[in-house]
Amino acid sequence: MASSNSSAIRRTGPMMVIEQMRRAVVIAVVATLAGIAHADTLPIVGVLAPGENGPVLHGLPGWRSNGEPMRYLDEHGRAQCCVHIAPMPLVGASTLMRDGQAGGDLYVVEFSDALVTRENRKPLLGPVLNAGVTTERRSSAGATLRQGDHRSRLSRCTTSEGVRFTLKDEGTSVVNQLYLPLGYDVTPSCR
Amino acid sequence: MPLSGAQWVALYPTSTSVSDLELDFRTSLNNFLAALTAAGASYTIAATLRPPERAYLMHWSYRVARENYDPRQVPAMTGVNIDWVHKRPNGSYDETASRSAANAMTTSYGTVYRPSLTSRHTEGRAVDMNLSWSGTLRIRNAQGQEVSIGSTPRSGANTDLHDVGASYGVVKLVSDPPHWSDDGH
Ligand SMILES: [Zn+2]
Repeated sequence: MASSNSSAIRRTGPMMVIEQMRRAVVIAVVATLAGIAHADTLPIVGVLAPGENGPVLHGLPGWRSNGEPMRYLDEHGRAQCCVHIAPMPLVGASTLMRDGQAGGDLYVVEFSDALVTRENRKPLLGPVLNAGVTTERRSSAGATLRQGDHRSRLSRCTTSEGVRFTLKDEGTSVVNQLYLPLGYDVTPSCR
Repeated sequence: MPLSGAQWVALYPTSTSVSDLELDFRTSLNNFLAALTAAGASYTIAATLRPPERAYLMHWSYRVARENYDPRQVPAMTGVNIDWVHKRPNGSYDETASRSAANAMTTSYGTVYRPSLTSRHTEGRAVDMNLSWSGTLRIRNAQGQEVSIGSTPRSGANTDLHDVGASYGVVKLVSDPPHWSDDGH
């Protein structure tokens, strides 16, 4: 059954459309037996992206803010301090599906309404680091994240109209991918 | 001529209406959506036409604000009556005000990467939509044959569904989960 608004002639505000598109953040676990990607087991808790009233966080399943300031990775792979994410529950649960394309599990993580309180005039798009994660070997292509004894390589590239973050665990070779639609078209840099 | 600034951002919004698409793709998409509906699938359309005027405003505001492009060199676009060049009361060029106004636009658009001037969306030949169903999807392709899709995921990422979409002329771009177009770009 088609959703009720699917065929309606409807125009929305520019940021509204982007918000609607971002209500699904897709994480494809492309390695076999990757297990469930979860904010507790990954070095990032979600991705910041521009929203209607400033940056919003697209959070991974299971993560909730305790109000502590959190660091995020800028476009040069540098950890920046800090974003203050409102301690409110993430909206919606995750949906687990099989990804026939990638041969692994696919997550669709519902959009989070968590407010990000940060004064920054420049639109921000970057992953938010879990507490205790340090960064090494930074570049515009990404950074190596260290979480205890665990190291993983985080890189980002653009598709035709989105950003793809790839997180490869250096120990297990498990690869998680996270896709964020931009709401406009760009030149792809992903190979 | 109205000066550049954040007030432009509300103009030329992205459409979510199929009726704003180019005729051939509109027909193809309507046929595919009708087959999905008949098969019991759900869909939500996030974007159809991205007006070229919007792409122009997003692209050039980004170039001026983030890439130091000279606002006096921004090409005009027919139908978009915007003045990228701000001036002081004495009539001289005010670079700071010009870049600041462009920056206000990129902030309001939420632009992080340089937007393209043209795309299948600006041509009315693409749609972004989320699809879902439960159980096995029994859907007719454009040849009228019933295709039984028991594979997963039960979403637009399903490769069996890509074949059905392609039979209608709605082709999946795999790199971007919500995106389908008339040629897969
Ligand atoms: Zn698209």
